[in-house]
Amino acid sequence: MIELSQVNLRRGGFHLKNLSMKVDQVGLHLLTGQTGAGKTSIVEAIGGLHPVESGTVRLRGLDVTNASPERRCIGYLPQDVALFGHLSVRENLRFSCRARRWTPKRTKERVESLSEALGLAGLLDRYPMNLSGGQQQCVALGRALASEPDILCLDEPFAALDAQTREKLIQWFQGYVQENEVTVLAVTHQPQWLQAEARSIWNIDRQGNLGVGPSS
Amino acid sequence: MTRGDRNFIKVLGAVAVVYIGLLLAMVLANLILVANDSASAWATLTRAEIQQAIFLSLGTSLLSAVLSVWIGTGIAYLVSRQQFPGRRLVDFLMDMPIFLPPLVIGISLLILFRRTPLSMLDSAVGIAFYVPAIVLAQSIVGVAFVYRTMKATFDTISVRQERIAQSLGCSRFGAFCKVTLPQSQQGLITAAAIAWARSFGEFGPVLVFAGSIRGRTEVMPVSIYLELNSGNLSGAVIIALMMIVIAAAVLLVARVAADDRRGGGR
Repeated sequence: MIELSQVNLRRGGFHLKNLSMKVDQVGLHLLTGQTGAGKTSIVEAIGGLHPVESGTVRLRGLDVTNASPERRCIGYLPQDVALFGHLSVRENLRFSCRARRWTPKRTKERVESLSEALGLAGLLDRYPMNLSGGQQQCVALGRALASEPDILCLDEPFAALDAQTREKLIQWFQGYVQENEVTVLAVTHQPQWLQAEARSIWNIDRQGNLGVGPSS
Repeated sequence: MTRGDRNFIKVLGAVAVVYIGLLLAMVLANLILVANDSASAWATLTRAEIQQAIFLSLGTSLLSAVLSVWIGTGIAYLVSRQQFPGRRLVDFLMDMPIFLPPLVIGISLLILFRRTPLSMLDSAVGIAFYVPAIVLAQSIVGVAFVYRTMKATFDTISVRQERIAQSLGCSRFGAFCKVTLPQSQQGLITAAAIAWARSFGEFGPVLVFAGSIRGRTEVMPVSIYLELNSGNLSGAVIIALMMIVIAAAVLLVARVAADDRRGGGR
């Protein structure tokens, strides 16, 4: 599903070399590591938001190293949520459905079901600036899921939520992943929230060594 | 607030009062002059060539503003987002029309369309001393102002939002239209208003490149010039007052349109 081969990434003076990883099972996979180790750069490279210097990125077995983000067809939730401030919650949620030319009826049904599941039903006409951090994160998660991508890259998806909402949402999300056979790569500083359901836990250390194993 | 702070604010306030007072006094002086010679002023406004100049001014300035927004916004986006050889040179050249004396732009356009191979286009279509010359002369400067305003606007909008939009299925153009442009709304309205205002008041390049042909290339600033030359001061001033009213109305509309009401209201 997701495969990196000998990927080199550069961001300013920060350089990640020879990254390789393979996520070939449907389900939840975690990417952990210390702050500044390069987790966000890796998921952005998978999503096409950050160019790779060399190496190969494959999604669903296809080489997408030079493909633009829209051709990769993944759902991406950035760490800073990056909601579109000029659009309401409803417009943010339906953004990808419209971009992928869903019918209005199907889009409406999808937005309704997602907003219900994510506790956003009463907030659809609000604008992001009028939402709490946790609500914004729920909208960003909904926006990433809206067009039903089979691959999700989520950067700290539950970090801004209170404990009660987080537990509820994680439970719903795990059900969603199983039911829809989605492959999820989630960056997290708190693997304990999700590790019970995780198929694999990848860890990247300060030296840029990426491998499967418990977080150090 | 200390005594020093109060004095500082007072000085700034005095400067503002003097400047705004001067602006209002200018308009008032015009009004008094027209009031003292209202018959002549009204007669000027009802003349067919002046009414034609008013419509030509409104039409050409609107067309020039639209062209300026299209061209200036496109180039501003390119320079703001892309790294390419000569980028700094393009940025420098785009500012040039703002710094060039208006007459230089007029004479340069005239030479370009009368003394180079482009003169064939001029002969075939009729550019110099016709309406297209007015639009060209107005747009050259309008584009530069739009470029400067929109580049500053695009520079403040994170390219990340466009990338996120692309990851959600938008093409680069789609991300520009659905995310960047709406977020540039205030800058866009400001740029359009400035482009229109510059075009509406453009005189030097229009006079040189389009001429001052009554009934053909006479726009309102040219009308003022022609009325002054013929000694009709109150006629020139009533046209000037009309330009002030139109410009104030457009400024008001632009300010209302640019007012972002998405704050805490919703």
